Parts: sequence; structure tokens; C-alpha cells
Amino acid sequence: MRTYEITPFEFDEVADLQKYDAWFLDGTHSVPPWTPMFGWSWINYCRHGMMWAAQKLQLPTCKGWDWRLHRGGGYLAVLVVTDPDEIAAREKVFRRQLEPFIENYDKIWDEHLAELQGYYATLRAFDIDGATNIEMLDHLEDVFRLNRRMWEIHFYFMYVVFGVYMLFEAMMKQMFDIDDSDPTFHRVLTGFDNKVFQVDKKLWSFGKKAQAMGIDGVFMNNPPDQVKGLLEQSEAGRLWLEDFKVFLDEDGWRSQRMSEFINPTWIEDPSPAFMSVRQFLQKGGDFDLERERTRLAADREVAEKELLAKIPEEQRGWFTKLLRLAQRSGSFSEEHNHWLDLYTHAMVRRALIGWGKRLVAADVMDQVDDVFFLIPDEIRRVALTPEWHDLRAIVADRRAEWATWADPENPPMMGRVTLDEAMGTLIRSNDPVVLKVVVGSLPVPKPDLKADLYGTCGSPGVREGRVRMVMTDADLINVEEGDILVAPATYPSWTAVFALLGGVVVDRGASLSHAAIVGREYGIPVVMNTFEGTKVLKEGMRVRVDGNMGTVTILS
Amino acid sequence: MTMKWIYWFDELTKDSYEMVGKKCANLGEMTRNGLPVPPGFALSIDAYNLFMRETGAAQEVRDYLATNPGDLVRDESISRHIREIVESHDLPERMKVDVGREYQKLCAAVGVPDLPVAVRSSGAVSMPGQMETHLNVRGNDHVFRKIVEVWGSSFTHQAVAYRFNKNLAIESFPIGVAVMKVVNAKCSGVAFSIHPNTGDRTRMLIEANWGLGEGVVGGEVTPDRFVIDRGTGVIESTINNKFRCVVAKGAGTEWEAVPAELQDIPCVTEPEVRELVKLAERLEASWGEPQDIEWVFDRDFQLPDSLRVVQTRPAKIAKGTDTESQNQYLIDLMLSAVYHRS
Repeated sequence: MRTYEITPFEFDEVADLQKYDAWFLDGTHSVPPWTPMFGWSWINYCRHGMMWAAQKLQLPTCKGWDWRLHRGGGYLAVLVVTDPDEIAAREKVFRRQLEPFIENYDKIWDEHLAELQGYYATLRAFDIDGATNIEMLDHLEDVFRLNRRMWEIHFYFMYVVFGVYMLFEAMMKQMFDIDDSDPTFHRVLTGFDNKVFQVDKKLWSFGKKAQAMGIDGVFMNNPPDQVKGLLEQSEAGRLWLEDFKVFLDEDGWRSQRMSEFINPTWIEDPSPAFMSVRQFLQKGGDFDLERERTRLAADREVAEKELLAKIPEEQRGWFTKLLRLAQRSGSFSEEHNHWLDLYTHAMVRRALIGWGKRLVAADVMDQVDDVFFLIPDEIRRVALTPEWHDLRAIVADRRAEWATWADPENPPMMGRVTLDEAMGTLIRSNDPVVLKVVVGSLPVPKPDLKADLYGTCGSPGVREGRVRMVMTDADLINVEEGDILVAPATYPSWTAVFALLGGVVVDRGASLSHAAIVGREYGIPVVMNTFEGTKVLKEGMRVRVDGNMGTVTILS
Repeated sequence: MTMKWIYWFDELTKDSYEMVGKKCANLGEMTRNGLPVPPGFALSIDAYNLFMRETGAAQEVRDYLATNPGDLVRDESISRHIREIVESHDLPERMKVDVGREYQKLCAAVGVPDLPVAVRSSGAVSMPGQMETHLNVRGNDHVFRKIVEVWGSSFTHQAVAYRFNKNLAIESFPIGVAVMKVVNAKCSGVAFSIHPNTGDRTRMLIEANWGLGEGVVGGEVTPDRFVIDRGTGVIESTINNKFRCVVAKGAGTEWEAVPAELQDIPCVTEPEVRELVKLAERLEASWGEPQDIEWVFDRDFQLPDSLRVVQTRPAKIAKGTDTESQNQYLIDLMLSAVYHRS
């Protein structure tokens, strides 16, 4: 039987280089290559969400990004508006669209968050195991609709918030000659409570509880994947697990890889959560997250006052508004991972796993995970009459192909122009998300600093420490206090490890990336966008990480 | 063929801005209207272009950009390098002859050899970012160097990015230069012919500090503030602690501590404030719109002859304290700084 391609959004070397001059790989999200089901969902819904948001906001010079799927990699091209009349018309509407955000950002965020939480509550209540296939099919449509809506909200906020952040950067430079390598820049943005911090706090307090109950040894002395079994063997452990389950049912809707369906959630496999508990225990003693945050918040207030004192009185009003909005960008950047991407993807996974089990039981395929190598229409095709179908050949074909996508690696760009010309086009779009997240800030080598690696400042400060290479989150367990974490990028689920670290060096990222924001919250230097940090640095090296200068120097 | 590219202020009108930039044009207009502008002359945009051509700097910039097509918007080192190219050249000999001659004329007119002057940039269009001002420049060589530095300083990262985004040739910068006698300042400051916070046209705002004007616009010290009711003439004064000010020193300026006995007394007298109000009213009437004025009181003269005006431009009222204007102002900023619309 035929194996259909995954989606009409697959890259066509001829057609896709006619109107577009270049496509860029989204290395942050699609390395390693996506499974077919996830690739399908991203290329459909993320693409939709960006265009929808760009259209709703009427961004003056950008209509979002177009996307293509190629060997499990997502490739993007920015849709730049060039006609002056069209830009002028869009600008008029853009102004009106921005006003509510400037007037009351929190209200708009709360409304949209409530909308999503409403969907989550309804979908969670659905009886995945007891439902009929007809009901399960409806449920599948519901999670896909959620998936689509999540991306709309995602970019509606991200475009506004990142634009505000860029404006804040420009004003700090223009008015005070402060850029984001200056500690003052970060002092006025940190110390806010947000969902991610709250989850960290709960994990930290579960660590404290384990200590109080005398079971902390289980975490410290055993690999995370054995912890659950061991806890179940004692009364104290079982009690602890009961409470932990309540926490997971609430906040465990997340996988270790945000941009995939195939990894288990914390609810299914709590080992990553146990790892975080262990890391907080390792930090030990009186490391009190709440106290840290309160300290950062108090320091922030001092820094705000100092900054405002430097501005003429009549400028303080709008500048304070801008500052408050910029502070929200940090919170949004962190929180949206939890409430949007992670949660929604966890819900979709749950539905897909549900189908996977049914299809295995109906002898349509061999393993539950095979479902991630199908596309939605294939599930729809077999859903109500599984006994008439066998999808094994399709699964085998797709798995075989998927295995070839990691090597050779997908090229960073596919185009008919040079990299620099293509970058020029990206930049002309003035798209804040492109500039901040995908392109990031390119490292500017400063040979006079004689460093071994150059990047950009994600979080200021200078620390020395031992390199700990973390290429996958299985490596996180090796982290010891004071280590310098070196990785391609960091992920929301790694937040707790920051409590132990002396510093972070990542290959990719920009100032609104996870590593930067969390680094600032934990007060450790972060150097980002080194591009080759994971190649140049080696496990065990002693290095100096200078967040202010954006450099890493090998000491031994 | 000799092209004219130096103009004395009284040869200029407010319509000359395309030739010499807005600042010089306004100085010219004020001079012709009999306002107390310190004497001086302007270098036109043609002067800049001539310099760039004759020294080969324009070609150097073009060559540099062609062989280094980097990220003009994100990479600050590019604009820095362009600035270095420009500043690495001296004024060509024949330009030195012309500028030297006019500067000497200025010294003679004032009766002070090696007269201290201000060398200021004067752009023809509004451009984001700040361009430089050099104060207390003295002697031919110093003047020649500062002119080149003013041209170089216009290649700020933001200005270059702006031109790149508008698809304008990076090396052709429409920039004029003002060379003007530096006033021996007792005190200086700003005056708005309306209240800039609220756009209230019935009130004026004046801010002042000892020494030169940079001591007020810099924001480091809280200046004395005067709010004047244009109808009744009533002055509301707030005298603040002026612990530092900017003074001429050597070949340039410096922040200096203000003597204790001067810190908490008004740096302008009431008659001086009244002169400023008259000046602001006159400028507003002349330009037909509210003005944002920079002024100085000359230590070497008595009121009313001590008042000097060194800049005037339309007052921006956008930074209002009411929510609506604040929001609009933020949106304006977003559009210009992020989406490069202006």
C-alpha cells in the first residue's frame, strides 16, 4: 500500500525557491528531526498561528512566516510587506490593536489564559480509556482544535511582547546607553513570580518534605528512574508519592522536549521531576527559592527607582509603562512554555497515545509509539473500522525515513541567495520574533578580548567553573554544584538545574530565550549564541564565563 | 568652479534646511529676525559630500560595505568601522583654507583669537539616535578635526540601521555643521513655550542650571524649574539642589561640582525669567507653533543683552502625563524604533 507524504507543506526545491529566496531551519525546535505526526502539527498549526496573529495585529511590515517541512526539520521564510501603501494601511490598524495591550496587558493575558485553561479542564475530564471510538474521534478533533487555537494565542502575545521588549532595549540604549550586557538592564526585569517559578517552588518544597520525612536519601543515592519504585516500598515514600501525584495532575502536563509528542509527560514518567527534586536537595541547606525571588524583587525596585531618577519628570510616565510591559515580556517568555506549548502538546499526546493503544489492541500496528509515525487522516481512516486496516507498512516506511533524517543534518538554510542576503531579508521584515528568537543576536567576535568563544550576553556576571556537557537531559544527572552547563540549548524542564549551576553556555538563543531568562532569575552568567560552544568546549575543562562581555575563556 | 558650501547664519532662512540641516536653518532664521544668536557659520551638506568625495572616504565606505555585507542592523561594529573610516581622514587642504578663513573672520568679529566655538551636527531629516556636539573648540586645527568628527559621529548604529532599512545609500548622509561662538555661560537651560507634560498652552516651562546647557538636558542634575502662567505672568519656582554643572575646560567641557553657596539658590533671576518668556513668545509666533528652545545667559553682558538663544525646534508634546498621550507616544516609539516607520 502507498505511504503518503506527510503534508502539502513539504519543501519543494523548485516551487519553493521561486517566490522565496531562502528558507531557514528552525534549529531551536526541530533538531533532532521531528516525528511525522509532530512535524505535521507544527507545520500546520504553528504556521497558521503566526499568520493569524500577524494578520490580526496587522504588523506593518510582516505577515508572519511561511513554513515547510523537510526531513523532519521546520524551515521558515518571513513574509515581508513592501508596498508602502499597504504598510501605511496596516500601520493604522496596528496602532489600534496595540492600544488594549498598553492599556491593560494583564487583563488580556488573563482572559486568554482562562480560555485555554477552560479547554484543558474539559479535555482532562474526558475518559480516554472508557470512551467509545466515536467519542475518541471527537476528542482527537478537539485536541487538534486546541492545538490550532494555542498557536494563535501564542503569537498574538509573542509579537506584541517581543516588540515591546525590543523597544525597551532601544530606549535603554538611547536614553541611558545601557544595553543587555549591563547588569542594570537585567536588574529591572527580574524577580517576578510566574508559573514556572511557582512550579519550581513546589518541587523545591517537595524536596524539603522528603528531607523532613527522612526519605531524601532515595533521591540522592539512586538514578531518577528507580526512585518511584523505591519510594513505593516505604510508608513515608507512599505518602510522599500521593501528594506528589496531586501536584503532577495539576502541573505535570509537560514533556522533556517541548516540541515533540513522542516523549512521555511527567505524569507518565516522573523521573525528570524527581531529578529536579534531587537537584534542589543537592543545592541543599538554606537555599530558599522564595527568599531568592523576594530579594531579586526588592533589588529590582531599587534599580527601578535609580533608573527613573535619571529621567526628566515628564518622561517618567510613558517610560514606566514601557518598563512594566517589558517586565511582562520576561514573564510571558517563561510562562507561555508551561501554559501553551507544553500543556497543549501534552494534551495532544494523551489523545494520540489513547489512539495508539486502541490501534495496537485492534492489531492495526505493533507499538503504541507507532502512532507518532502516522498523520491524522490515517487515524481518521481507521478509527471507526480498525479491523479492516493494517498500517504497519506505513509505520515501517516512515520510521525508516525518520531514522535517516538526523544524518546528514538538515542544512541551516536552503536558498538561492547567500546567507547574508537572506539574513538581510529577515531583518527587513522588522519581525520581532525573527530577530529575537530565530536569528537572535549573531556573536560579534571581539578579538581584543582574546577569548576562546564569543557569544552574546543572556545574563550578566562572571564565574569560573568546570564544564559539564549536557547534550540530552539524561546528562543532567551528572551536574554538580558550581558547574558550567554547556549545551546546544536549554529547555523549560531544566529550570531546576539552574539552582546548582555556576553558569551556562549555549550554542543558540537570544535574550528572551529560556537560558537567558532563567539565568537572570538565578543570578548566574549566561553566554548564548556561541554556535560552536558544544564543539569547542569539552567535559571537565575549567572555564571562565563572562556574561557581561559575552565570552568564554578556557583556563585549563 | 567654486561651489559655495559655507554660509554665515544671516545668509540662511528656515527654508534652508535641505541645504544646511534644520539646526543651522533655524539659527539662520533667528539671526535674520534679530534674535540674539551667537555669531557663527554653517557648513552645508555639500561640504560633507565634497569631503567624502575628495578624501576618497565615500568610496572607502562603499568598498567596505561591498566586501563586508554583514548585518548592518544588528552588528554595531559595522557602523563603528564606517565612522572610523570617515574620521581617519582630514579635511582636504582647500577646504581647510576656506573653513580657516571663515573661522578667523569669526575670531576677528568677536575680537578673540582662537575663539572657543561649538561644533554641532545639523541633520536635514529627523533621525533616531543622538548626534554629537563639541563645545569649547579652539584654533584652526581643532575646528577642522571636530568638523570631521561631527560628520563621523552621525554614523551611529541607529542612524545606519535606519538608512539601511529605508534603502538609502549609507555613505551619503545629509548632514550640516554649525560652528558657533560658545557663550561664556553664567547659566543655561531649556524653555518650552507650552507645558510639555500636558500640552497646556496657557503655561510655559523653563528649566535651568549653572554653566552650559548640557548640564540641563543631560538629566544628571535636577535643574531649577519655573512654570509661568502666560495669562497672568505668575511664576511658580522650584529651586533644586544643583550640585554639578557643565563648564568649558581646556579643549572641551566637563562636569564640575558647583560651589556649595550656589547649589540651592536660583541660577536665573526673575528679570531673566521674564526675558526668557518674551523670547519664547516671540519664537512661537515666528514659527507658528510651540517651540522647544535652548538658551544661555552670557556672563560678559548685562540683561537684556546677556540672553542668547542657541537652538529652537518644534516642541514635542507627546510625552503627556495623561494616559492617552502616553499610550500614543509608546505606540509611536514602537513604530519608529522597532518597525522603522517614522
